[in-house]
Amino acid sequence: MSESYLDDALLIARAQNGDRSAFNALVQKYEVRAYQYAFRLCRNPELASDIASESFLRVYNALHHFKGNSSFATWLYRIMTNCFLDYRKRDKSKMMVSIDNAMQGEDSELERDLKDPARNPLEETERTQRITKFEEAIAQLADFQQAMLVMYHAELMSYEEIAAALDLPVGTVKSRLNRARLALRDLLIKDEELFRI
Amino acid sequence: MNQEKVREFFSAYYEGTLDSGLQQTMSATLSKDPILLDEYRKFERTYEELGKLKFEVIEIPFDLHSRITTKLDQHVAETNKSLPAGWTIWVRNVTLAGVAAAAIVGAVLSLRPNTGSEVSPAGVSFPVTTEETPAHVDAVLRQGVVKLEFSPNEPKTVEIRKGLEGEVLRTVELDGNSMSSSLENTGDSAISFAATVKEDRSVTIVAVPGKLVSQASSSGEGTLEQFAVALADAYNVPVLLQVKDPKAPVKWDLTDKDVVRAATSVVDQHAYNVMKRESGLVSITAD
Repeated sequence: MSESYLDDALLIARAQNGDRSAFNALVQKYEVRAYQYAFRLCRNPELASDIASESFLRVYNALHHFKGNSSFATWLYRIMTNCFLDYRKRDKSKMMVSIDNAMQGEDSELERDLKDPARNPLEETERTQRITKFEEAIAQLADFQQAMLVMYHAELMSYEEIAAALDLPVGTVKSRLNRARLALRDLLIKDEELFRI
Repeated sequence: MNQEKVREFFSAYYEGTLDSGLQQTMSATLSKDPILLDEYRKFERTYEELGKLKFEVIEIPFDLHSRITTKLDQHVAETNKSLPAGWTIWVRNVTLAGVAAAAIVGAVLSLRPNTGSEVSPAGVSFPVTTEETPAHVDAVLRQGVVKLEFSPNEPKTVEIRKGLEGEVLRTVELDGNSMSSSLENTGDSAISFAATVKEDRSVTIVAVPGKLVSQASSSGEGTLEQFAVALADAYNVPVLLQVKDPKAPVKWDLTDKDVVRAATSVVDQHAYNVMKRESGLVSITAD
């Protein structure tokens, strides 16, 4: 029977006492969110699974240190971001945006996601190109800028939550996010027509 | 306001979180500078594009959960590789009166003895090699955790008690494999654990300091075991005691700042050796 309905604090306390089923329940509660965050960062399903798995392993090993000063989700985001940054350091070549590969096959993820019968072919091509260019541009940003943009715009975390996750002052988070957006804008300016920027 | 400053406020201006004065200043500056205004418009569209990220549909791998739990299982299995079969049982409840015959992997047992302090003989872990040559039974301090390490040459039964006369916390059947058991004291004062090898009645006592350093027992008299606890309390170090008669009476007055000198002055008469290991653990042994 799934225990993931239980309060985080209760699950964490039980997991800290060695209750593996409580830890599995925590995993079940957060694994989708973890995977989505990882995927948005690396754009590679295999790597996203690895990052999510590695992150939960780090959580497992460090759970006895968790004091509850922040929410479990915030702590998990910190661990995942560090995991992503570690992967990037280890092997940058594996972090190529997988869009190119996805675009080649008939049954590619990207095509499936974009299928919209209401759109005409020209619009569809433009939309596909726009998404491709946009994600490529994000991938060109510094790793921490990518992470912060994804946290704010995709994960809908507040500035305060991002600050807690990255252990930074809120002002620093706001300033870095602003610079990340400016940097992204500069990258997208090259494809002004596509983005009507 | 210079252009660089204006750009710094682009996000806050877009989000409408600037105070009204600054918001007006920004609007006025942008209206007077067409190039900067054009930059801002492009920034706006970038911000809007970013807003679409949240609508992206991401397919979740069907086997995500099993991948994560498999990785965890592998990790746990690797850390317990050398344990004999039957030692990977999760035990949730142990009573004070009962004997925990099964090994606990990763579990922490919280027991509440009469003194009110909490005693936690934590999980049995995989065997380790240490720079401190392990005896038949030895104690080590590793990364802040005190561990009892067993490395018998033949099958042995070891009984671990809370103190020499205390309740049996665990009985360990060793079949020749080495293993270690963490000792944790979550109370304020030092306490002792006693590991007795049934086959030869040898005793290893480990005094584990509590959360507080206490001078309460820094002078007194009692058994060698009680002296080890007093040492642990006064100097906040784990103390290993491996002597023939841990009940032998001693008197102590721990005024010396150096724990080795302080302990030597007490046990010298018994010709015991006192040593402080690199890890910080103090050992009192008969050689």
